[in-house]
Amino acid sequence: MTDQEMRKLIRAIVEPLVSHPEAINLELQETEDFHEYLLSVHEEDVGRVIGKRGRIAKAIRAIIYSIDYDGDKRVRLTILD
Amino acid sequence: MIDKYVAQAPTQEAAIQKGLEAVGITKEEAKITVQDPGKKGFLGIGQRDAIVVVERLEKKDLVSDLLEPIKPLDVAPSKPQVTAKKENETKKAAENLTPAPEKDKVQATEHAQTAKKDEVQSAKSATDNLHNEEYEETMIPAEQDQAAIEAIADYLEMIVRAMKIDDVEVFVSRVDNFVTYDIETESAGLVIGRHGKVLNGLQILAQNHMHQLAHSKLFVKVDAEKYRERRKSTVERLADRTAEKVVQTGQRVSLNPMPAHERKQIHRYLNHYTGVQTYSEGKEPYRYLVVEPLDDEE
Repeated sequence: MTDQEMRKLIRAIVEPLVSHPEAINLELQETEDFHEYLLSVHEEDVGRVIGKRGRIAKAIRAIIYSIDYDGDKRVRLTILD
Repeated sequence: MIDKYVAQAPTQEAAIQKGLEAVGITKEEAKITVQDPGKKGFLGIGQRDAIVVVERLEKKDLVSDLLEPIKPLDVAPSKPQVTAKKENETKKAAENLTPAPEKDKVQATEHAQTAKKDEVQSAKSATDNLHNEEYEETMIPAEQDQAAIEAIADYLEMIVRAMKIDDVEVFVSRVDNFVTYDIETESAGLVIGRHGKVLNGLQILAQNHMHQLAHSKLFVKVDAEKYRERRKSTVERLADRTAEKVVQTGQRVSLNPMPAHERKQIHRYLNHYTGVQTYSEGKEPYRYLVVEPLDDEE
């Protein structure tokens, strides 16, 4: 999967959950070991994306980490708050 | 004399026929609501009966109403929008299901009914009309639930497609407040993930989103290739083996961490097993289950 497709996937998961989809911002930061995606949402929506005890965040990660991403590096998702 | 009958049969047509016979009327005298168009399944797997509600229409001169359903639309220009919306929803509900020739007729009946309502409405005062309109705009709970159930199906399908799995179809079935989404694709392995991780993630997202959308408390299960059933028998085999070992050795055994719904399966399963008792300890997501001998020796 490519960067473009990964972005699409993250958006597909997150957009319906939030009340301010226009405020979703996704940035890619390349580190030595990871393709790190930095996700930020409207402050009202942070809780919705993380969930109680990080339940939702964990579910989102379970899905996107299962994807076979191009290259050797693994994907990481960080939710900014 | 009954006025309403909820019929269940393998096909939608058969259910309608059954309902009509039970109430003792013809199709023209009935208001037919398709609650569940059913599912054909494959080799008897995943087959689901269709459920329709057949109600007697009080009005006897329905035939004449059916003949001129268009007229009232001009009288009340604001109403048809609502009608159109409703029809769209009905159509959407019937989508992705076996082609049903009865569908159009049912819709026609519904249409005629709404049209009839329009006529009555246009006779009322303007303010009255406004109130009624507002009332109709707010969704009734059952409609809201139905819309939520469909929205979740779309949501799941969208995610799976974004995972680059193109041959996906999501089948929905509902029993009481339990909604099951069955994801069908050639690449079911990718949707399930290792130890069902991805499937569980999808289930958590779907359950969470359902609570956001639905009016009632609906419980969501997401499945692919009968994974849940397969997993259940694996879990039960594990429970059997563990319980045997505990009874034989008299020692408690801790199992590996597992998700809440699997622990629940073991608790319930070993509840009937004499000589052992179960409990869970540890913090999610590493909470694990312990089986120990029953201490009733006193």
